[in-house]
Amino acid sequence: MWAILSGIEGNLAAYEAVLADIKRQRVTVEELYILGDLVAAKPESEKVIKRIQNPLSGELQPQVCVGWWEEQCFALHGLGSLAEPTELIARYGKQTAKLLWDSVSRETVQWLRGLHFGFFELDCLLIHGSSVSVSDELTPQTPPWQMLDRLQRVQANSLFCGRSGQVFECQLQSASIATSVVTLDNKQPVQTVTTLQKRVVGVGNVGREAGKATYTLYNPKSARLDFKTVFYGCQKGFGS
Amino acid sequence: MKIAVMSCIHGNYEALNEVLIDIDRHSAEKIYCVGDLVGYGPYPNEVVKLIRSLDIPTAQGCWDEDIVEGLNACECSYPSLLAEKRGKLAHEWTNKEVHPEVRQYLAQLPHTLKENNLCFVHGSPNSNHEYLLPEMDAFAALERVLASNADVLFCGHTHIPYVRTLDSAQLQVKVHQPQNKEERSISFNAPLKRIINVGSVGEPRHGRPNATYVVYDTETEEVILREVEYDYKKTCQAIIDRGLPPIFAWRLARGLEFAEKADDPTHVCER
Amino acid sequence: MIIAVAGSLGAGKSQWIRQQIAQIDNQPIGYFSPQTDSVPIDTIFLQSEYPQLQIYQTGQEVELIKSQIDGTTTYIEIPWYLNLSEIEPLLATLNCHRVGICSEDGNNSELRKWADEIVLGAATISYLKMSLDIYRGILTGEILDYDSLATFWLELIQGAYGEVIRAKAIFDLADGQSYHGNFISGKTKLNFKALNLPPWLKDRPDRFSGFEIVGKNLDKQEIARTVRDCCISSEAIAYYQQQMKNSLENRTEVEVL
Repeated sequence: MWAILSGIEGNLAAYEAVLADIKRQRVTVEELYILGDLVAAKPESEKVIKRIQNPLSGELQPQVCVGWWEEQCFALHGLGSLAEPTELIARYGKQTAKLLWDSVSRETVQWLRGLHFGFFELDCLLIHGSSVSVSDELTPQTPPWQMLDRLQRVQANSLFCGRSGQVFECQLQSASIATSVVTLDNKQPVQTVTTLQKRVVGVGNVGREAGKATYTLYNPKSARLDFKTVFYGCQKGFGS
Repeated sequence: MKIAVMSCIHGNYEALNEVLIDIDRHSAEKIYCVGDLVGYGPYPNEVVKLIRSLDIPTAQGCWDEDIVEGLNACECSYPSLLAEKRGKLAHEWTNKEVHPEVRQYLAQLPHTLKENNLCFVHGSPNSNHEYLLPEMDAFAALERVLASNADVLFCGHTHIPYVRTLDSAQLQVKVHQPQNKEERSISFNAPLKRIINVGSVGEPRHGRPNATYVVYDTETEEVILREVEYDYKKTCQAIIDRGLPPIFAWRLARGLEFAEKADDPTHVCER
Repeated sequence: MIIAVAGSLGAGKSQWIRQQIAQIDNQPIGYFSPQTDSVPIDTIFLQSEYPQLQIYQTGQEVELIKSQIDGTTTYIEIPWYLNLSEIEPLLATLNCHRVGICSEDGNNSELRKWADEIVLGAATISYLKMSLDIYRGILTGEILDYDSLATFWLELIQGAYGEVIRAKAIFDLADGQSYHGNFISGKTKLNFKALNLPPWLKDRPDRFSGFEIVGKNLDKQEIARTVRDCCISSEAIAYYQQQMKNSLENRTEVEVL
């Protein structure tokens, strides 16, 4: 069984609650994936990183990839593909940019730089946004053609993502299209192309909403999904 | 109404001239251009001047963008080291040649042109570096047309013209969200869509040195892929006379393009 | 026994020797190609196919003669650009069997006079030796980018750098392998074959790579420039080699499972 989570967003209590819930599962969890957004413009971000870096004995070593907030850190520190944190400022304002700068140390940013862009395991892509970028937000409302495109870019049958923070499973069942191509020298007859079952899974969000964390359990053998919601006590004086 | 659409002139003045004469013969009422006016060929300024004097609506190509912004094409958009080195030589040469007003003109070109149910882009609606190759997965191709919000998507960039028809697309989706007890089944259908790649005026890649472009009738929806002969030897001579690498002339004369295409059709530069 | 093999450009000397070697079982075999020491393309190609092959270099003629005592069959491949009279002093001391690979259409009178045995080889276009350029380059230590090489080679054989009649080469490519390329005008197409040599996984390869191009009006400067543009930087070499190591390690893991 795999546990897949995303969006801790600097919320240590939420992360602890999810870890505890994973331990309570009857089936053994063999892999723990964290699909980005470990940090956010929250003072506890550093603590979350330390906790991820140093699992307790008996705990799994999480497999971590970068998320949208990490990408904003890279931009702030001039280490990323973006020259300026324009997306961050446009979305949350300069105040948040300053807070993010204060919340995540340069040393941590360097560590985050070493993370993967995503994971490809079996026929599954595990990634924060999509095969296009960390900012690409897939939701149940995303046009299905677009979802299919994101899957086909990397030849995956399942795509697990966390940007939207929503929990959902979108099964693309049957798809077909008739296509033909005419070139200067050639006329190819109409072909009907179909595609096998594919799906996009929103794995939820751990830390954004105080007191309530969501994550996903996945059995790669049976391809069964189990969405989990964890309610936990909100410590006073922190975050929201 | 008949329209003519062309792309990838790449500073080949002779080819552009001949294509404009051919467009006249087909009595197209309007001409569109989907970019790459400059790069590789010997007459970037003259080509831009002619396009401007005829007021041809033009979308920005990757070469136009790079001349304005500095060489930004990521390495991965070149198919090989050799192509990259040649591309850089061509870029440096063009960068030195183009007049300031030409650069200014290229800078203000839009990424996309829209006219009713027609959309015009250089590469794809995502990026002017993305190649829409004819063998691209049909669903991915459809996604590009749908993203453009048009029925017909005109593009260039690959230098080989084609018309791709995407019809009777169907998709069944089942959505499950824990907060809704029931699963929702939704059916999606897309009506007939087309991708029309207009080829290349100045840098053909279909194995012959001739220029290619497209005539499209907006009423009958008829597409004509045009292949136009021109005096390519003049352009070849100018390439050598003006100090561009002689191999460009050799490749142009064989319809081999100058630097070959990238092989990953879905690759998008992340820089 | 010593067998001297001569023939015109592209007649099939190496090809014939390969066929002979393939038929010999459990016997020592030697090979010597005079005046090719700096660009030993055929030698390396044969050696990669027959690792037990004993190779002689210029200056090892005495060893070559001695080896006859233990029953070695040694092939001497005489390059087409060498005059038969030039090599005669050596051949005369060796008491060898002389095989002439003749082309159907060419003027073979000199060869027929010289040879003890005539083998009908491939048809060749006859050229006056004098009118041909030979351009050789040594690339040892360089690793080329495959797609760049494919482009260059296609341009080369289609005449972008002058008329090419014959081109042969050994290139080290980014996948760690050595590749043999062979082109004869009018006969072969783009054709590269990985040699049966161990992959080079660390730093720049310390083994021969290079090319020999025969043709007319060759633009040597442009050829050199283009080949240089196909070469991968040291950083890129390190990157590719790391990737290869990683994939080799992963493969081992799978095997253990």
